[in-house]
Amino acid sequence: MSGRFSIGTLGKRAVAFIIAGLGAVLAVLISFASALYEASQPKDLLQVAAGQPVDTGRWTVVVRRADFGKSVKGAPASQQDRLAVELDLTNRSAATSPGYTRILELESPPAGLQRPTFYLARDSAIAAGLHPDMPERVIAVWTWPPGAPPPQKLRFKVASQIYKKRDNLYGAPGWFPGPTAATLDLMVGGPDPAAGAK
Amino acid sequence: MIRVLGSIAGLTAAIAILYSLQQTMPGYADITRPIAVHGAIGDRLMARNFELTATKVTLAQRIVLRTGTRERVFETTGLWAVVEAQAAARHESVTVTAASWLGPSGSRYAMSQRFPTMPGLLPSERLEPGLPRKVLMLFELPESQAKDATILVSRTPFTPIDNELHIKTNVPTPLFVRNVARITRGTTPGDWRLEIQ
Repeated sequence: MSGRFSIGTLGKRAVAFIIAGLGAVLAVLISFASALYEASQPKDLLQVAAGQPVDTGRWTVVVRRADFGKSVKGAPASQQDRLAVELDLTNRSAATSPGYTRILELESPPAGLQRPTFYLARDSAIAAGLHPDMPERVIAVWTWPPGAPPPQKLRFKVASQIYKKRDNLYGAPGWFPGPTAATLDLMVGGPDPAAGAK
Repeated sequence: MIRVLGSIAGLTAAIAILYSLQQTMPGYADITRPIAVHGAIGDRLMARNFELTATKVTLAQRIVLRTGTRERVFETTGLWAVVEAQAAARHESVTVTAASWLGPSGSRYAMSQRFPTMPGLLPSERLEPGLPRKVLMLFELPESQAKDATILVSRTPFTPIDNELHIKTNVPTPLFVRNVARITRGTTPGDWRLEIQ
């Protein structure tokens, strides 16, 4: 022991290990700090109203109006109260897709609310895959749990979808759930924003 | 000095080679892509377990399903493409469930799912070996995708390393769009007739 630390006394191998170790520690610190920073600076969510288009990645969505009751426009009659939201969907991807069922999510749903059923506005048939570049008016219908108070003001989260050229499991291309694209405020039974336009 | 330069050059070359390998690595979709069988309207095309001859493509503004005296009209914002075909199985009974219209822009329009009760549609017919039968494929597409299209037919929507028929269409310019394609249900089950107006 010379009592004095000197790089020269270490072997070349040890120096290489120390440099690699320091690099790894630095990489971990930088990624951790940047994650912390991003989490502490939430981006302002886009706020939209009825009639405003939202680009969700895979779809362009224009929510038009909401209706509540036993008989709602565009859907077959039923014995239960239902919430119906009329929206225009345009598929921006390159293939026919039925992947729009999770596009709208109520921010504070009543207990026991199931996923909505989508109907085509043109013939009240259950909507299936929508084709690229063909705007289609659909009606999302939620069966309202019995006993839950009827909604007046609704706040929806509009979900986005992102395209991955290679997914994490197989390396296959595909569309995956993304972050919330916008929030949307809607009055039940509000006026049709495009009334008279068509 | 020369040794240092040499090792830097070696490192750079290694990074470049690894990067190019990473960038050119075929993806999962490429490795498992269907095996194309090319042909045109009127050709008898053989896939591994079925054969199909597309005989005619008709464009129409609306499709009408007639059952007895009741008519149901299917409208669209674009056009309907009605593809008539003869199909049969090859070795054992098979159902061919996937067909799409590949437009000139590269967009794929899957067979319309708006006709759950329509007779004669390709996915609802069970094909038997040696018994070719007339089938229909109905596509909903924008006007701009009607020309220079290819019809893709395969046994299931996802057919890794199995055959997919690529049928080149012959839609003439200017587009000849008929008013109504009427499919009339016959009196016996599974019987149907197509009229173009």
